[in-house]
Amino acid sequence: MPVKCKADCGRNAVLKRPKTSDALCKDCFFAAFEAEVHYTIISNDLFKKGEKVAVAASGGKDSTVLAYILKLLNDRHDYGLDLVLLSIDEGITGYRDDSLETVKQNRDDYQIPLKILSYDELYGWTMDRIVEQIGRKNNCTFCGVFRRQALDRGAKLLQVDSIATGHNADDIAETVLMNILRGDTARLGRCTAIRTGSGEDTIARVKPLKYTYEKEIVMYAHYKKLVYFSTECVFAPNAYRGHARAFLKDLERVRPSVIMDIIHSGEQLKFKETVKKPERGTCGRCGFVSSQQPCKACILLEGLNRGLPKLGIGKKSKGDRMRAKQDQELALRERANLVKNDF
Amino acid sequence: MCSVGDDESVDDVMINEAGEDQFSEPIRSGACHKCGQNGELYKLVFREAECKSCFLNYVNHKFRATVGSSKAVPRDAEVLVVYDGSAESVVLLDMLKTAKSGSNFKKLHCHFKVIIVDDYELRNKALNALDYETYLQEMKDTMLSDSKTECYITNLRSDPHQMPYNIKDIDHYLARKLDDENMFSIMYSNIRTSTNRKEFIKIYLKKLLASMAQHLKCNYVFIPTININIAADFLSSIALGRGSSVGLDVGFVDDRLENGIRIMRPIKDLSVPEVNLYLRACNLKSCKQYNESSPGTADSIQGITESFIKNLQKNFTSTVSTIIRTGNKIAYNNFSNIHDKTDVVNQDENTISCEICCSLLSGESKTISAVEFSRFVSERGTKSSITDSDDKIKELSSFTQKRKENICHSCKNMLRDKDILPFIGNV
Ligand SMILES: [Zn+2]
Ligand SMILES: [Zn+2]
Ligand SMILES: [Zn+2]
Ligand SMILES: [Zn+2]
Repeated sequence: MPVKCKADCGRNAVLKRPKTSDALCKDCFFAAFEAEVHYTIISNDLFKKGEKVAVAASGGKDSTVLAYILKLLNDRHDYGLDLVLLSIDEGITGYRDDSLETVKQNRDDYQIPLKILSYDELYGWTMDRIVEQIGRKNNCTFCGVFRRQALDRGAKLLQVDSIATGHNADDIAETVLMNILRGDTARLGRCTAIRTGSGEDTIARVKPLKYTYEKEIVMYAHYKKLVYFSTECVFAPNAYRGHARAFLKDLERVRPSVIMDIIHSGEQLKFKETVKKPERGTCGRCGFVSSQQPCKACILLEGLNRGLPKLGIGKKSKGDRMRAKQDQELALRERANLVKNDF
Repeated sequence: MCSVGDDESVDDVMINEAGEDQFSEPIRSGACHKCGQNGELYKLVFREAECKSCFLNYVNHKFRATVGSSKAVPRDAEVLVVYDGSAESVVLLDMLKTAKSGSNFKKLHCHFKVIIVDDYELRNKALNALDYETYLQEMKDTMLSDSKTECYITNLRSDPHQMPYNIKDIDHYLARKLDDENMFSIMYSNIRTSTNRKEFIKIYLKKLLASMAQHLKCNYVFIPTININIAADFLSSIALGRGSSVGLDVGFVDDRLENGIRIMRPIKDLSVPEVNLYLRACNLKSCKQYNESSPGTADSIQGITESFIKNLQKNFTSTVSTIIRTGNKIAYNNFSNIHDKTDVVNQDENTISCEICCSLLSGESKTISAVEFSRFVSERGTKSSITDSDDKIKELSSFTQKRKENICHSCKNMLRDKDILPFIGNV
């Protein structure tokens, strides 16, 4: 006998919600899913009427569902938001070029304008070329640092009030675990925040899908027949993060509430006063948000341009030594050239 | 989505992958790098090979540093030491004796009694009577070999009001009435999920130890947990939503229990290799019948976490120490101040503790309301989407958190398992 929808609507259930284990029909699942995101936006005061919001769009399931649902809720509840899609082209052949086609499809389907910014135009380097230089060991570091700043640059260009990103509950729980495993209390302290960086010269980032389970995002996209790009990045992700992700999946299997429980735990953590908090400022070189001088993006870029790609990886003192050594070598070579030219 | 680089979370924190060091023999021979002595050398990861006495100096110092640093154990304190036959408990007991009598170290001024909590039945599914007898006999022999130390035994399933038995009267212990304990076993096995069983036993054991300490007029309980247990406990607590009290799970002192008894972890900074080398150096053995805590079973949050950490530690040698380092930076409330507070009128939300686990209740949480909202909205389905106004939604979020009883979020999760309810009176 078919199971009836838990919401008592009279229809048969077609799915079991991963988050609550309730059996629901398609329509009641849509309603519940959408109501939750709306609830998150309202109860956290994520947006104000008349604001311009950039949706960080990668073409993947999270950002596709985010763009779709923000458009839907904006119309339904009259948020009065001016939405725009912002995509970053990292220059990864076989991955980003294909996924950008998906974003263009989203632009047409949801009637939201799209802006694409490329690493090539911002930094003069594509990820393909960076990987050529540095190999596959630290490539995700480069990509992550550059993307973070690229979004800020794009947001400034578009003059938006905030950037909405597609981070879901699983992503946040995973980051809590990662930061514990890495002993990074500064990031542990702020990685659960639904809104970050809303200072004077920084553009706020918000996570409307903070309480949405990855499995439900996939389910929602599936039943809504949304078009998204599902290939993983061709450059293998960091192994350590992979462990944390697999661990979380194992935990979720025995207790689905674990994702929310981890986020809750992360929010409850308070740190001893002696633990130093990084100061957030802006980079003296490029002017974008950074907790160090110059910012990570500028150091990595300098490393690439100097042909010292390891410059920004590891300790600062090591980087300083590498720089000094190269400067010395360059000076020597120059002197050698001078000698040669004398003849 | 690709989360690399979010919030600048670049993986620039060096994570030590297991180098050759990790797999090299812990025992070798040669000259000690410290004192030059030739002979058997003990090699720990991140340390130079050293002779037996230099090694013992080092671990005993670690122990004394933990116990002494916080000044939490006053002179002439009465301490109850938990002994379970495990390698860790053998080491703890030996270190205590050394510290009390030793000449190398500043003498530790405290008096201690030993408690054995017999958990044989709950640990072993099928009770093998013969093995059980050997187990008890071995524990008894070990304890009676040292006539100066008083030792008691109780059962994990017993009523906390029940006095423990002196190990000399083990026959009385064996002849005790078992009706209540059998009841306990039945109820325990009825708890549906393995996660809840483990969670429940952890809380129950702590309260039982506190009662035993009271019976034996001790104010402090030393438990033999070492760094890997603490790392696993810490991560499990996070996964169970117990973030607000996790500082008490990793620190030296856990003072949240209502009767003021403090649970302490004097060998929290020792590692598995250190414990094993200590046994070798002092010619000690763990109890044969003590079976290593069943290798992290995959059916509970705690079991999965334990095996996750053990595996990760194998590949990344600094896993456990990094987790502990994170834990040590977490602030927690000092309960002693709260318990001493006599004016009940002044109790605000932050000083109310959970009736079950004794942790402080956390304030209102948007995440908890989101969880409640999910349940609510799943039941309403299509009725929830259009009609609710913003105000209504905000009202809902505060409504869902109105507390009916003083029970924390995690214990509420545990209580969803209805079979735990009969225990609540006990705890
Ligand atoms: Zn329905
Ligand atoms: Zn910069
Ligand atoms: Zn030596
Ligand atoms: Zn509790």
